[in-house]
Amino acid sequence: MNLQRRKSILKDIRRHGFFNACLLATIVLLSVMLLSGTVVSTSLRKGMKNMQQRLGADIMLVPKGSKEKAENMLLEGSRSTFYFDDSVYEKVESINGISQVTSQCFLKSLSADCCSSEVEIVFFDPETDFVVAPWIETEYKSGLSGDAVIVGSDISSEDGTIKLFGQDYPVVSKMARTGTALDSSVYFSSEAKDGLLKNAEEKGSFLTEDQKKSGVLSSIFINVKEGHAVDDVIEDAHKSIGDIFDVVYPKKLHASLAGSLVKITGVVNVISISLGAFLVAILLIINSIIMRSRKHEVALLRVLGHTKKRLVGKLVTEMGLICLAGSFSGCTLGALVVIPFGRYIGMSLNMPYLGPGFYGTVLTVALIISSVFLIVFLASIFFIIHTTNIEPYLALRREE
Amino acid sequence: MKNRTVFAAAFVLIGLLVILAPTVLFAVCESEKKMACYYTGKAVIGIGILIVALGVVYFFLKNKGTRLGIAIAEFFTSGLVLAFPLKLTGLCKMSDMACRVKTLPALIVVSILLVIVSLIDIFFLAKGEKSE
Amino acid sequence: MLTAKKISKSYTQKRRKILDSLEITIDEGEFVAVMGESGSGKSTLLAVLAGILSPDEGEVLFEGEDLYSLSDEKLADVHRNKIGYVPQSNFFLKNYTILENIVEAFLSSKEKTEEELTEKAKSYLTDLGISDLADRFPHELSGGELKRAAIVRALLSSPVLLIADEPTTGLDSNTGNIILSYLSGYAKSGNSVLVATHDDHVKEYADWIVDIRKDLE
Repeated sequence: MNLQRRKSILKDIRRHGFFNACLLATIVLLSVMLLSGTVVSTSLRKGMKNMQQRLGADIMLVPKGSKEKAENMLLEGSRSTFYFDDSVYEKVESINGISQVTSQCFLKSLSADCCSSEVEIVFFDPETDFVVAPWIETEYKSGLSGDAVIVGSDISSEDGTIKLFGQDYPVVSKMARTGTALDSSVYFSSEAKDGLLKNAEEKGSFLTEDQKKSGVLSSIFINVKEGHAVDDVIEDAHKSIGDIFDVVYPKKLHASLAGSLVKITGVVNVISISLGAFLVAILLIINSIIMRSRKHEVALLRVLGHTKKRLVGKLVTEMGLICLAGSFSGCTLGALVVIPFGRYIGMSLNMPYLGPGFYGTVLTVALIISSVFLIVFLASIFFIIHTTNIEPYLALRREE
Repeated sequence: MKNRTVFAAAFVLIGLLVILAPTVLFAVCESEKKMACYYTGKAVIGIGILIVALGVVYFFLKNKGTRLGIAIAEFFTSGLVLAFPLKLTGLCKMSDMACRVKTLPALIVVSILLVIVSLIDIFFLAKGEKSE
Repeated sequence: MLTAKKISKSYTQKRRKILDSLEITIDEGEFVAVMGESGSGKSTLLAVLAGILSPDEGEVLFEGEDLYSLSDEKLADVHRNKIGYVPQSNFFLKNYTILENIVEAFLSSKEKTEEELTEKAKSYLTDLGISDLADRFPHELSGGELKRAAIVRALLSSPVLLIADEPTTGLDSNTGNIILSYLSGYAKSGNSVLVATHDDHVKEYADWIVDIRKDLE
């Protein structure tokens, strides 16, 4: 398209400035709505799917009174610490009907150190573990022993080590992204706990009495054998170790969250559809008004020798430029809200939230722009074709 | 006159958002101990006041060349809005702290808005200068 | 050059026919004026003959071809190169200058360059005495000046048949005479001119007058 044609098209768009501005604003709103709705819904669903894959245990035993903290930790990875004596592990191991059992211990920096410490530390038993292993992204062959550490996806270890309490620890593997605070956690073998705690104390880090104890656990994950009832296992656990624990059902937690997700996405869909329909109605009205006001101009151009095809092309091009500007601006605005604030959205909804990566975002934006183009095209083409098909004299006559 | 008013208003509004983001709208972490994000919040308030002041001065300047200079200044100031939380004074390290979850995204959005507005203004003013 | 046979037209089915089995022939080099009262169908007749309003019945043969049987592309080609039409209303795009308004519509055809079209337009504007208004905007011109600019716009395609609907209506007699004189000169150079008008001055210029009620019914 040469410069003269471009200038002419921009002049024609400016000539109907008010209505084209209304059209632009409507397209911007439509794009914002479609992009935000798509990104939020997709991220919530992705987070849920991710969580379902993560929660591989039938039962999670946590110290009495820690159920809510444990559930929050599973859902959004928020940091919590709770402990019971590690002697309960052996007793639980011997309960009938258990196919797999493993334990974890969490070490969290206190709030005073939230500025200087960027990680939460999880100690787990690599030999019995079935919760962490599926989540490890890159394979490691040597096995986790000694001071070796597996890091969450948000932690960078350019030289293959991570510094904790002034000491370097070798990184052997990385976890896949969860979209929760677990992405900034590190995983040590239980063997490394004593050494790490000693190092932390020497460096002046503040630890609670519970944290200083060597024989403590935070949670026990259990998978129940097929044919055995979960409730029976829990009853046996009560008999074996007493009433010192709460039970969290990771898979049930997922199921109840899935119900919440359906409700949330249902509300998002209803709002999107209602608002979308309203905006499409506005598009139709504005297009009708614009084409009506251009009947005379179109008729005159036909009288001067423009074909209908050329006129349709010209009008569609003008519409396309407005649509491009509007949809691109709208997607940018929408992305500015939902992408940086993704974590905040997830935490506000109390749901796992796994936002799209760079390529996912680009793909979503391309999809929304294409959809908006299609919607705007369909909302305008009837009026464009109708206007170009009016007998020129009748259009000129009406204006008189 | 119209352009001058619109862009001046935009700069003042964005400056106000920069001031309000870490203090009222998306406040930094609350704590007795003054953490990195507290100092970042204070620094960003200062930058916001600068952005507002430049916007007010912009409104009263008729000369396009001088206004172009202010638009360029606003463009680079947007970089400062992010430099403090990301590099200079920093924020809490933990990823689920309020300053990381709310304040930083808000500052990212506002600084991008400032970049866009100042670039559009630079484009129009430079075009105007060229035609003169 | 142009022959209309048994042209009938009504705007709605229930209303009476505006045109009823009209026949008219216009030869090369003729200046023909259609006169009649308001509502007698002058403008309708001109529109049908110009190929911009399809008749209910009949055919309009231009250079041997029925205008209303042509494809859209061929009809557009006729309007671009053969038939010029000056509508009754002076419609110009408000944010284009007069010269841009005149030239703009023909730029897309690529048959002539912008420079050629501009030169030609300026020449016609000079002939009609409004060359100094080329860079003004439509709202700055009077009715008479706009009408002359509209004629230049129609002339830019060098039509062999120029059709003008009420070219002097609402104008002072001096301006009206300038326009009619120019149109007469255009006809004398071998082209055909057809006007619809109330203006009796046209009798001084036209080769023949058609009274639409008396002569064509």
